[in-house]
Amino acid sequence: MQKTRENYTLILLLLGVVLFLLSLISLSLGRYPIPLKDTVYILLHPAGGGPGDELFMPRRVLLNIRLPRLILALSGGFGLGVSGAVFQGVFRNPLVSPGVVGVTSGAGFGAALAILIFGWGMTTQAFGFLFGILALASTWMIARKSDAGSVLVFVLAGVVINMFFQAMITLVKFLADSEEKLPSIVYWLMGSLSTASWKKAALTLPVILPSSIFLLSIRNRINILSLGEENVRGLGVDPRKPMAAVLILTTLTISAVVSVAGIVGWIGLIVPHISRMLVGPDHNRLLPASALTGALFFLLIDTIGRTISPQDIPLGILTAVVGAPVFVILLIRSRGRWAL
Amino acid sequence: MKFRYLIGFIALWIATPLLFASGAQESAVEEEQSLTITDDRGESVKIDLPVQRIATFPLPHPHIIAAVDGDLDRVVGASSMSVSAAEISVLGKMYPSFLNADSSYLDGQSLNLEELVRINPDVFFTDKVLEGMEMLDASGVPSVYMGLKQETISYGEGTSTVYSPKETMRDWVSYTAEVLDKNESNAMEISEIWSETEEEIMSVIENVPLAERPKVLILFKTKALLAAGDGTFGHYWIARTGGINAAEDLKGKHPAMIKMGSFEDIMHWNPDIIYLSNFENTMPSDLFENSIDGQDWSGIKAVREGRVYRIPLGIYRWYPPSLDGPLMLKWMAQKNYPDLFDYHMEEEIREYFREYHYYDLTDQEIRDILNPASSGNL
Amino acid sequence: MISIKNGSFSYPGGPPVFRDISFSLEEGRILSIIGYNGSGKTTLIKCLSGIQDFSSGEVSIRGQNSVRGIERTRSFGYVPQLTANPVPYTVEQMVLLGRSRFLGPFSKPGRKDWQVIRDVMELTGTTPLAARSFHTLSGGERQMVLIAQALATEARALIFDEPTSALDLINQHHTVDLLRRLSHEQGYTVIFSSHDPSHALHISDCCLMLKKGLTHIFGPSEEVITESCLGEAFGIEARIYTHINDDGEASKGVLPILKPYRRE
Repeated sequence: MQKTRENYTLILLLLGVVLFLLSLISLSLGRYPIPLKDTVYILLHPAGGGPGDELFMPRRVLLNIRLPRLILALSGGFGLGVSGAVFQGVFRNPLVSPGVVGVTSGAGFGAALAILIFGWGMTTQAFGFLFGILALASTWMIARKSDAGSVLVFVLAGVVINMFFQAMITLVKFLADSEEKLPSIVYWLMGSLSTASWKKAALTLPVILPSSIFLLSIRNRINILSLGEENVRGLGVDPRKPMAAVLILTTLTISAVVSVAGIVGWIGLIVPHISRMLVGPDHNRLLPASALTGALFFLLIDTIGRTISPQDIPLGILTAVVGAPVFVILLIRSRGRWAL
Repeated sequence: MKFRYLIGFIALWIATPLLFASGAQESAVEEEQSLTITDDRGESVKIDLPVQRIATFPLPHPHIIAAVDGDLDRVVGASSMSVSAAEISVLGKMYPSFLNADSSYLDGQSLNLEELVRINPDVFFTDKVLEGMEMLDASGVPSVYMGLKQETISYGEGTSTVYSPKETMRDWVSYTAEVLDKNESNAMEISEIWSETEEEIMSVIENVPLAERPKVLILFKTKALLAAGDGTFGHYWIARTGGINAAEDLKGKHPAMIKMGSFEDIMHWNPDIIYLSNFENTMPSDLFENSIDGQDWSGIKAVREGRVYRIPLGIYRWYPPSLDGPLMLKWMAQKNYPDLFDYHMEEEIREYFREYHYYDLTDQEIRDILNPASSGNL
Repeated sequence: MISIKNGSFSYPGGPPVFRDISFSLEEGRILSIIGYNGSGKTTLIKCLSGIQDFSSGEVSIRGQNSVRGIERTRSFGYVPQLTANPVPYTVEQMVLLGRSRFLGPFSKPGRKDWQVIRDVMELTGTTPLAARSFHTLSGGERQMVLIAQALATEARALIFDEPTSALDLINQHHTVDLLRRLSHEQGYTVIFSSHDPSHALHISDCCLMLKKGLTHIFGPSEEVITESCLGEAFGIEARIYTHINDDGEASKGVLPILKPYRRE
């Protein structure tokens, strides 16, 4: 026991170090060439001289373009990692993810609708949240009505709700004017941080971080909830409040991520599995590990997406390219049970 | 029974020559009243004359029709974006009826066939090969495809093949004049003036070493990061006014705009001069005030030095093919080289409109051309 | 003292699952609930433990009347039927979950929690399994872990839902013997359901037998589990046999009378 606890600390530490190094590398990569040493120098001396300064433009690129994007990628991955692990825990199903049960497409529809009506802003997240919750509630109701315990029914209900909201998204696209809004909605839906800015960071971080950190701090409750409603009551704990808190917080997180980064699938599904391989199924350890792995995964995908070709490759494409094979391997290895 | 057959036979016998005769008569009429032209698809398109109702798809086409025909009465259908441009230009004042042209058959970039057939045009012009065009021909709406023209021009130390606003304009004037059976000479004169203006400007710029030429960026849509890359209309304007296209590395197929990777590209190019198209509502002040979310303009040289300009809107939007091409050349050459060109643009515009559009502009109208209003429908 | 007065349960709009069940059980005693499949044993266990509430009826625990919902669950340590938990926690984590009712949403298990866990794992013989994954255990081992989890709640009354139904003969014996020791040696009140009347007869002080037609009998096990009652309750003829060992101690068992067949 003592040994694994040390291992866990080591793994977390290692993830932190890798995350830090990747962040630095990511900051120095991009269309505007900035050597690593300049990157470090600028980060240590963020206030610089005027246009005459040799690092004038690199400083602006780094601090005003790449840094907000880095922060959004890290916090987005952090939030999706935590939410994904929490979802699989409380729904007691390794195949469940915010995407599978329709939260992501629900939030995507809400956000798209808000962008169509108001343009990007606070309402994007608010609408995302509203329809994310609606999608989740619908999936849950359908599953409960037909067969409360069945994992299959839950996933199938999710598929139905997903398809419905995908159609609603298509409706929004149909209604959007083809010159200005349609391309931006389509591009945003494919998943991209290319429009990252301090304003977006300032609007989404206060949602993502407190939600995720709150989820992290109640992680012993996730262990309990993973036993299923009756057993939780059998242990003398009322599952309703923590369950409601968990669902609201995960949906808040997901809709905030969706509102800035579009529909980024797979992260919430894959990251908890990878983390479980690293630190085991105990949510006390899984959640922090999932948060770091999620941040690492998101940052890696975004960095690849913006450097591999002259044009930003949408995140949705890359996560699927990486996620689908990983998931197939997990599925075969675990034969549908929890991957270990 | 037999008697009935006999009657029928006789009737047929009498009727047959009549049928033939009337057929012959009709084809004779057709020869007089129809026109067959070969369009850019290579299709022979037969158009019944006289053409009274015109529907058109290319955004700059209505103002060309107006110049060729001397009126816009015959245009019953046009893109809503052509109409919205006319609302904020003198074209709408010159031909108010055009503001009522039907746009319903164009939803976005696609064509609603039934709507088009419903407004029943005698001819339909398009610059894109649209899905269902052969159905249009079958439905009795002859459609003329007039593509965009390219030309190879000198650029930097070599040459560059671009979508040519000048050649496209010339080509569309020909098609329009042919279909409307009009004399094209007046409109064609513009193409000659255009070439002369090109030569006039190039003769001055020839003497400027390549290293001293300004790095110019034309933004088609700023927020969407669409710029005038290599081969676009914008590349033509930059090349013909002695600039170096900051976005020359952007390759693509679109005639007007190519998407850049990210805002970092602009920071990397750091252009000396930025032109904003009037196809969007972003204004130079948005860049000077650095008020666009997710974009940091404050460090860009053009912004620091106050050299951000919005492209004017004359008889039609400047930048795509338009009859104001020579004016665009002079305006942009002067912005690129304020020391080398001493055009008085207000007077140039006034003269040009009087000469070629037969319209006396007021001072306010000239100011509006140089500072086009924002428009809701872009 | 745990007592139920006129406890009934029916799902909304459905027929009653059981009706007017009344009994009281003194502390430290063992109550068995037996009945045929579908007689409502599991539902009754859930209602007793507070996982569900009775549709009507009164529950009083240690003189406190009308203890409902989560509050009632806290009077008991509940051992669910043996099914695989989908999350493959280690044995130690599973037992630790028994401490949940003492842990706030933000708190971590403290020294006392760990001490309790060490004790109950010792008692149930699960200490050597501590680091193993719950999934890799045998049925008998899992049963012990779940009992340890219930004991970790420090409740003085334990409720077991069919604790022997998924086990082989020797593990059934271990489990029943542990239940007996918990009551006789540690003073726990034990309530368990079973469809095997032998276990009830073997260790329980009193027995609640659910019979067809929503009726039931409650009383000392010896009086309730009789050949005639078994016939009524299970619909099969049964004999009660007594085995006397070398020390002269008697143990009883129920044997259903099966129709004899001979292969022709």
